[in-house]
Amino acid sequence: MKPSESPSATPSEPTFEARMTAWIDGALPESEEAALLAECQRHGISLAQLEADRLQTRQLGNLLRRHAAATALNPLPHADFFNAQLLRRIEEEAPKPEKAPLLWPLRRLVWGGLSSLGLAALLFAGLVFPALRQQGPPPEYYAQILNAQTADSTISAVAMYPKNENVTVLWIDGLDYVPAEKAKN
Amino acid sequence: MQPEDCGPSEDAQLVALCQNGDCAAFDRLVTKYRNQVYATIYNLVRGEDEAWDLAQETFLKAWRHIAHFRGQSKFSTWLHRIATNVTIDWVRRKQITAGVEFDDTLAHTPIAAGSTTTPHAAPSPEQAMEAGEIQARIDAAIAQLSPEHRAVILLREVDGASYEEIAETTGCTTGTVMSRLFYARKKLQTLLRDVYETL
Repeated sequence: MKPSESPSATPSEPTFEARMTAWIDGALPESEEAALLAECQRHGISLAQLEADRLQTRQLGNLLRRHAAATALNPLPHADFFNAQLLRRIEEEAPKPEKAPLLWPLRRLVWGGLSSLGLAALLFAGLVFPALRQQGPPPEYYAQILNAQTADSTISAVAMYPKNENVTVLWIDGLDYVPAEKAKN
Repeated sequence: MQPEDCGPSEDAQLVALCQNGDCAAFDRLVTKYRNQVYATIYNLVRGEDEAWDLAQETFLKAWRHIAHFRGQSKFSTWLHRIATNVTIDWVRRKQITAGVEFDDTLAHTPIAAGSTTTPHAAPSPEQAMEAGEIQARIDAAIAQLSPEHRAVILLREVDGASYEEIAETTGCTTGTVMSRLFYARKKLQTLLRDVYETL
């Protein structure tokens, strides 16, 4: 069992692993060092073993640093292209200014159509409709033909009232003459 | 990881310009930090092409989020955090795609926390003396660590970052950092002991 698995440990306390790391790195406060060494001895880990572990850790660190230093000799390849590529990607992501489209998009076409219809309606209401209204109501006939009987189907009778003349006209078509007694009326 | 030619105050000025959409200012920051970011990522992924692409992703992500950078940490630390997280995510995705799981446990032989008798890895020290093979051994050993353990030990041993800086970079507590560091070291000691003891 590792010392950190001791049931007496509480979550707020540094774990054994954390304290060992601090000790190996020389970052453990002296006040805690004695307690850590005593804990290790209780678990059969001698001071000599701890010192050897510290030495191994340093050797490992040296190996990793040497390895990384060999890598670090190689700077970023194609550095100028790196910047250019990055800026190109940034520009691609940036919101672009709106360009005038060659063809109106559908939404604009719809709005254009609706606007044209509205304008046409306004013109109709403002110009055409008043002109129609000026023609006045349909003529009021003061004479109305209720019944017309004739043996000749080519004879017809129409009554009309020209408003400007203010006269009622009875138009009978197809008669050779109108009898005198009828013409009086 | 701070370059010597200019300091954090210039970074702050450039960041402020970037926050107003100044791409030229961002280009200067990229030029300043691209080698460090690339080296950090390369140490984690061990591949030039992958490191190059991930460095691009890192800077692109930095540009996207630079409006939210409040200067509570150094820009270099913030950038380093993005690089680490982008790389850890990539390594995780890659392993999921490949169907490989990391094994951070010391599975072959139970090793006591303070033990110095870590088992030797398979190849003999004589074979490992070849420089190319040593590089390959180190790469292979690092590749066996989980992305989180890999990041912690490389930030500590290679970049010389403090526990607090690593915690800020990886977004976990210093206790977690120290614990991960403990196990990452143990794992690498197991895998590389014959290498560093014979050099």
